[in-house]
Amino acid sequence: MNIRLLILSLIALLGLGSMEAAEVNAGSSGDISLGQEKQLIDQQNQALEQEGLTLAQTYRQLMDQKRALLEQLRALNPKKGTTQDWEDLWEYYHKYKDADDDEDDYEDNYKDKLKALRSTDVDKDAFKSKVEGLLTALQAVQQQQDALTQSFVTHNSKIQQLDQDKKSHNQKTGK
Amino acid sequence: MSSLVRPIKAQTGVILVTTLLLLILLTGVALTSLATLGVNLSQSQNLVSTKQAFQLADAGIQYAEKYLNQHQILWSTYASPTPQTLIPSTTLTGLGTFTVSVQDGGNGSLQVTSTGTASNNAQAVITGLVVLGPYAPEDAVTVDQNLTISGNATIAGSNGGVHANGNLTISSSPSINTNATAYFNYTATGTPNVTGVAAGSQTIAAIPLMQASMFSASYDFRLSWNGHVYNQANIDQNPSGGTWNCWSFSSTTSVQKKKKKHVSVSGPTGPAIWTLSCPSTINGTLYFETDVSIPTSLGTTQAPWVTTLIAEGSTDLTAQSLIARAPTVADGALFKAGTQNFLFISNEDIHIGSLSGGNLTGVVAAYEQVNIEGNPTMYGYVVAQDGANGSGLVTADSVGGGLNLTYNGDLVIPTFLKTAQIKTWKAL
Repeated sequence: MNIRLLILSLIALLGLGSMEAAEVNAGSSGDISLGQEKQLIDQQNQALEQEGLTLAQTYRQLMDQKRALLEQLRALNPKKGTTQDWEDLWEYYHKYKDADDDEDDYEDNYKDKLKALRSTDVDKDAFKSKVEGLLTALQAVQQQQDALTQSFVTHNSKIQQLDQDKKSHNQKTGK
Repeated sequence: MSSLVRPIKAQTGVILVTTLLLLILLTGVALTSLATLGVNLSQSQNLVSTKQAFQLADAGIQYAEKYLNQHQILWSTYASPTPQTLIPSTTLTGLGTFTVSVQDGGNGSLQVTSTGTASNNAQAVITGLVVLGPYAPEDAVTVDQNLTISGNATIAGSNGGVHANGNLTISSSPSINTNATAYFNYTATGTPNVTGVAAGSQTIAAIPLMQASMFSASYDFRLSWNGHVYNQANIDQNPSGGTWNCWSFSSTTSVQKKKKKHVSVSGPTGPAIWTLSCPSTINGTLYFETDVSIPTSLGTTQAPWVTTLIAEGSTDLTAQSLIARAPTVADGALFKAGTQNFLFISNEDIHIGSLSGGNLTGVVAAYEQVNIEGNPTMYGYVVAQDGANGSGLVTADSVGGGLNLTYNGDLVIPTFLKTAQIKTWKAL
């Protein structure tokens, strides 16, 4: 998990580095020919495509992990509730864990939902322990997704910058 | 009088004896029947339990297939010489439980063994070999988030179903030949005619990642972001930069976009776009480093446009009529194994607009969302990966109008897009 985050961070850093280099080049565009400028933009385009693919793969893996955990959660008591109910349980838990101490509503929502999803003939503590084990794992995946969102922000700003560079280049060439 | 009374008394005795004999006989018959019924009932109960155990074991195999598909990255970990638990004891309401173990199956396959246990401890065991094979969806329309069907579409064929990994909402009266399912909620406010299962809380449909750059080795021509067109040898086919084979380039669109998932960023101008500007173009696999717009009708039944369009941006089809199909082996050099059976691949949205006529054959795959309107006739399947929500062309996956889509589970796509599939299956 942490290795993946590290890789993503490295990708983002390398990407930023290449963008900085591009900005330097753009700033001194008078020194390079249009052909060289096109070549640089092509290289950045290719790098950003690859970065986008890596981010997409990571996003898909995290979504798969999240859904697999949700299915395991639901399998703890398939007699109670729909998939949506278990998703709601996770959402309540996530908000409860992320909320400030004085926001008791989230905790109440979570506890009510947990109670509603437990069969009466099942040991309360054992059930809670199993559920919270999976919810903790979901929380870890969510943290990785949040980190990934930041990588997407960086990636998208680079795409936007590259679009501007392309437009600027096309204007210079009369397109 | 006395002569009349005497015979009556004599007959009364005969009736009594006869009645008693009949009662004894009937009691015997009844007891024999009850004994037989008891045996049959017991046999029936055993049969039901065995059947339930078998269903549970089968459910375990199906579950394992989906689970392995979602965890392809751990494939080598599961390929152990001795069995390891893949899915611990899982309960199916009203039936019983199943457990699944996994081990190496040889030649890159995994052997999964599922044990189903019914409520009275009747057991059934099924083993199967699971391999990574080319992706072929169960349904004609598959989306990774929510799907709305608002028109009276006809989804036909042996795989003529729809599935949403979010919610499925049907507000009209489509005809769906197989299933209409959702991972979360299924809501029908119209009167859909669904032959198979119409329900929510169903299992997830696995969708492989499909992005334009994964197919960049297979194009005939690359229509670049700078208005030039290149072949695989990177030789400029359009040095003047003007219109090329009815494709015209513009780098000054004013579309606001690039609002990626969870992120809101608005650009001063949209990215560049290639537009089909006259009703005649080249057959082949075209790779666009931009958005694509097709406002011009093209192709006839006798001479369809044979093409695969790959776009790094979105694909917007607004022509009144488009008759197009993906290249096949019979098309010779037009056919590319790396993009086989794909018609449209887009990194962003795909909008199939107000087609009043037309026929599209091939796979339609968007990394973002898909919207189909009008009355197109299509053969193949449609996939929306919902990996982001950046293009403003389509905001949510939806099918409106009178789409007529048929899919029979064929159209093999390139082997690098793999999903876990059950190869062999037997009861032990």
